[in-house]
Amino acid sequence: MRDREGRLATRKKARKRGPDGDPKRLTPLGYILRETWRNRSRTFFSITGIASLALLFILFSSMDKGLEDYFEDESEGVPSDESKELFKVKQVMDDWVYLISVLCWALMVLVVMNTATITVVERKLELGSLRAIGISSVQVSFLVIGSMMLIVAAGIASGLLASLVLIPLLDIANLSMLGGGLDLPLVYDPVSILNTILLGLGSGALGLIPPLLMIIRSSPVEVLRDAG
Amino acid sequence: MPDRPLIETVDLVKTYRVGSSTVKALDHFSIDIEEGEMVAIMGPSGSGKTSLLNLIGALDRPDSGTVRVKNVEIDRLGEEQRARFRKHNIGFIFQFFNLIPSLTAIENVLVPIMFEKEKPTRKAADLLERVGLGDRFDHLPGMLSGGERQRVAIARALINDPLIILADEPTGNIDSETAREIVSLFKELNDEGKTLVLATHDRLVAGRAKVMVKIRDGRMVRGKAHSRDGMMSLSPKEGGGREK
Repeated sequence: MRDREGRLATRKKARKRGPDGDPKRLTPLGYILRETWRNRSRTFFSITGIASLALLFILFSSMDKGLEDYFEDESEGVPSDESKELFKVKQVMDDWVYLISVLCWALMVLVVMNTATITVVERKLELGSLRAIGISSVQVSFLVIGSMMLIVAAGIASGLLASLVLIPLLDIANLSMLGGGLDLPLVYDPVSILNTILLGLGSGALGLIPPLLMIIRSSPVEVLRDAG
Repeated sequence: MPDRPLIETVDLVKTYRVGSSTVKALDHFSIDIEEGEMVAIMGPSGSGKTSLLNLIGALDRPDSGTVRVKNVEIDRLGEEQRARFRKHNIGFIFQFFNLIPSLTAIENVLVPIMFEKEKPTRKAADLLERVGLGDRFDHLPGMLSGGERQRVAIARALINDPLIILADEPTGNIDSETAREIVSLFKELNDEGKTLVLATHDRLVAGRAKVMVKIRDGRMVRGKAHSRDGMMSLSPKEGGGREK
């Protein structure tokens, strides 16, 4: 029993060390991952928020694309009653799809800004100490950008994965509620995926501006004095 | 031209705004610190000890006056240059240790060099062993006592092999027995040629220093230096350097 415990302890110790027996190196990415894990509950909520918005965006993009493709196919011949109804839906969608996109983007910016600002305020002493021991404000900003981009990437990836499951399911269910009894076509296309990724990157970049300005403008002396 | 002292501050003035009032932290303060000295700066809270340390450590800029360290006028450097200067020349030790809670002891020692290409992990391990924490490499700060955390902070301050170590109330948050061990460690570092500047209330720390400077209201009120012939007195001088 004791031998087994000893072996486990040695294996655990070995994992924490490099192949040459020296302790493992600390890299900025390792630091970012550790800090993201430490604040995992906030990270989880931020990822969920971004994923939901990405899902909503891709859902509307797919509906828009579906209607566009439908009318391309139905452009010739006498329009049926269903296509007349769908045309009305398309007219509404044409206005709404932009509004929904802007809304998703604005909310994503808010999620990123909120999470990053809380992170910077909460870790004020830690970030101030890093600067005091010689890490430059650009490098400290890199650590904050890295952790937020990790959250945005995880959120967008989760949203896209969820949409991969949800959109075919909704297509099978005919979306009768959303289409007012109509068989609303859904088309999942690569442009929508690309737009969702761009939406995430854009909101990440914009949402990070205020917290980064906080870091650059803050003085490590003031932070350390406040903490003392 | 005679050799300049390692640290030279001339006629420093530093004021802070606290609410609507202005507090003068340093009032035309001048001091020279030679290489290899161990200087204890004593004085009541708010006397200007930490402000002096912040200026010497390139963390802050004076309102007027000059701070010269290793012949570099650090108050004239830009933000990024000062960060680089701190990294390579200054080791900071804080009263509340300021360790990163999510990193282990050895990772905390490696923090100042995490952006560097070369990462001397063996050196970090040696430093932890040297401060008596050879069996605590993988412990998080939360699992360490106050004295052990301060030892990690000392190891972190030494990772870049700085010439100057600045410690702000290094024994202010630990028990007297551990404080004695920490002071012995400082003495050891000083014997190896490191220059130490310690802001402290602790007479134990001040007693082991080669030079003791008392400040009040941002001015030097008294100074004493140990020498081979006994104690020398330092007296305050406006606008000048060190007097003996």
